Amino acid sequence: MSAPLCRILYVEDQPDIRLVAKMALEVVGKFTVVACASGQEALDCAPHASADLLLLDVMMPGMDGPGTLQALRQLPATADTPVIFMTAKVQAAEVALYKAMGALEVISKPFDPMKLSDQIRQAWAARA
Amino acid sequence: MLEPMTPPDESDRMRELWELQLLDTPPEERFDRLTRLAQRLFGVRTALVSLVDHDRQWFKSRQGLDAFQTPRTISFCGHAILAEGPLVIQNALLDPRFADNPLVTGPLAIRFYAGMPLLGPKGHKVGTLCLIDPSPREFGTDDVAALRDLAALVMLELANKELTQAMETARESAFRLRQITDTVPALIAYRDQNQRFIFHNKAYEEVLNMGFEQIHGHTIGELLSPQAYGPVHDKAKEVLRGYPVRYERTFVTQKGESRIYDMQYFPRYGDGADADRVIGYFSLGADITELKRIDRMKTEFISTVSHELRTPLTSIRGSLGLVLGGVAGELPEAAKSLVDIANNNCERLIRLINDILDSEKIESGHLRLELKAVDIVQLVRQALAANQGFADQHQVALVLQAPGAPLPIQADSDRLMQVVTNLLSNAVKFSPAGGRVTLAVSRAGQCVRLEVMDKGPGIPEAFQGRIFQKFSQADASDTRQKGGTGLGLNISRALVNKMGGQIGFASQEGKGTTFFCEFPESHAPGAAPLAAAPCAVQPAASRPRILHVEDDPDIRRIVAAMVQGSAAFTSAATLGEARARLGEGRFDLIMLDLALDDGSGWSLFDDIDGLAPRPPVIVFSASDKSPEHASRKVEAVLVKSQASDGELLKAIQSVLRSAGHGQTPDALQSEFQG
Repeated sequence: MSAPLCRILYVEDQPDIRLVAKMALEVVGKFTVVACASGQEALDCAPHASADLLLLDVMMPGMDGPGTLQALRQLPATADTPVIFMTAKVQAAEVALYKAMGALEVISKPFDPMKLSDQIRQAWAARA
Repeated sequence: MLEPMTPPDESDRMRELWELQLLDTPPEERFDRLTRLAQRLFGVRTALVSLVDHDRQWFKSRQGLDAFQTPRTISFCGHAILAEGPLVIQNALLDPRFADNPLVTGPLAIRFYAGMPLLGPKGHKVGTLCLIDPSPREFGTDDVAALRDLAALVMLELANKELTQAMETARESAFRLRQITDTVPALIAYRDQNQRFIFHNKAYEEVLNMGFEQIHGHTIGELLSPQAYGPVHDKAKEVLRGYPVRYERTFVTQKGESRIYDMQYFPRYGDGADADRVIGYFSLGADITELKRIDRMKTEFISTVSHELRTPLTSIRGSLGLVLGGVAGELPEAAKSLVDIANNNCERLIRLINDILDSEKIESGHLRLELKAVDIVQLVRQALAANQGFADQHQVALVLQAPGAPLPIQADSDRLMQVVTNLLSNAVKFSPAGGRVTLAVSRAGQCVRLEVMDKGPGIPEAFQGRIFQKFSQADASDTRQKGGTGLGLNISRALVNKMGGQIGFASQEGKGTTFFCEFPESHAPGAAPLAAAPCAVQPAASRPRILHVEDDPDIRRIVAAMVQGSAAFTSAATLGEARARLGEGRFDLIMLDLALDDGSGWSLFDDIDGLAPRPPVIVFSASDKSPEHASRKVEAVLVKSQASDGELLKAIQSVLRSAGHGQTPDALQSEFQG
């Protein structure tokens, strides 16, 4: 029942983190990553990205992670694509909020690059 | 009209009147009962105790008259105090002294007046006991005698200076109390057991935007809207049961500004026979609006700083992790050791930030724990497994001593895990290479006790008193050597206390240290209390891992008890939970029930078949008749009502043995053969 996870649409405004996470996901996890620098860029890419999973940073200038998710949900391509949030503000209430928004997982920053892919795969496998 | 003359002893008379300290004081029953008696006895409309002041007559007690004073110039009493005996005017209209007096011609329409002078203790005539009526009447000798007797009683009361002074003192202290309570910027009130305001200060009037009369004597329920009253009602009920109450409440002021108050209710117990009964409660409210604002700023600041630090750390940790992971190619040995140092210190910085955040949350009271029944035995097993790698690095063996049955306590499992991990990692860090750290769980009286024992150098006695303080480490160089943050024990203690437990330690220099936590045992329904029996177990890493998917908690418990100590046992009640467990770690054996709440156990095979290596599966369910048996790879099938415990164990042993866990069957054998 669990289709394998291949393509990830990743949104992160910090170029350094974007590069590191993309590398970790591609080299360690063997995923195909479409990395975007902003919510708007993600909206432009989403229709053609055929993403299996959305990986969104929470704090971004302009459209933030939850805002981006809301906008992506309006697009047919990403109307119900599973989502994982990444955030540096790990507060229990926040985690609960993102989970309530349907997030499979909330990954806290700083993340371990060698374990990031496993963490995402586990969340992917566990989704009901 | 004839104005009354001034008596010859006027200045002494006035002094005596002042010394009585009765002018402008509230009514007193001791005088009122005498005027009531006079009013009734003589059948007159009005009876007064009138004190003749410099330019007025003031009534200490009055029946049948609204005015509390009238000018001395038009007074009858001014005349009465000039004579020794009573002044009796049977019909004022016929008396040239009073016929045109406004009290006679005006609405009061006085016709009859009889006034008996009242002498102070020093003999001066300070006023009268007088009778007034709008109809003319006769006043005979018997009447005069009766009035004289009553006047004598009034004079006794006038002379009762002690009482007067006591009243004055009480008045003064009441006044002072009111002044103080009205000046203090806090809500202060006393309410009786029916929640009526018996006392309240001005701040209450301001915050409720009501006058004194609107509040005094009313219940809080009458003053507030039903929505606002709801929560207050519960608090009032609680304090009336005898418990002090504290809560926060928001008032909206007249200007529409929200003010947050820290409200406290204190029960007041009665005296004597009521000593055990709450007869009312004091209410105290402090305006904490500003405090809240500052607190919010502090939290926001810490949260922002933590985020700002985490962002660059994410890149650093990520880059170092990838380089060390070989993603950028093989590193020369020297470069690798340098990157290792950078990576370790990066990890430490992250721990430090996490600990500072935790510490702040604890201190500000923002830490929220999700307390529920947690099986501490299962939790310490997980903690042991999670810290195995760290122990291996330090070449320290981890040993578990735990009973076979669950020991439930009320705890937040994530935070309890944090505590156990902290104690374990401390013990490992301070153990010599080749040493052993024992993690023991047992029942101690009504409590569940968790111990972490090491054979390290022990805690120097001089340091033992400060061990739970923030940033305290016995040897300053330890911070660097051991990689701690200096906050771990401080946080652990706060967490344990918040979960209703106690933390402590015993240490002997050169021998080792034991940290222990004690929690009250939770008697959650379904958690069968069983005698604690510590048993030696194999190190977690070498034990086979079994996942048991089963919706019946009793069967889960039975199977768990059977393999306890010889296998790492994980259970899942639903398919969803099973998938989550499969995602979290590798298993050497899966035991599967078929009829689960969220679907058939067969559907889990898609997930199991996708695992590498694929673990063997034992189907352990109510029926062995299913077409799926033929199409799926199943190592063994057992039927619940038919298979004995022994058969089940044998099946587990043989499946594990053929999967290459040679050591395990013996361990299971030896434990369960008897």
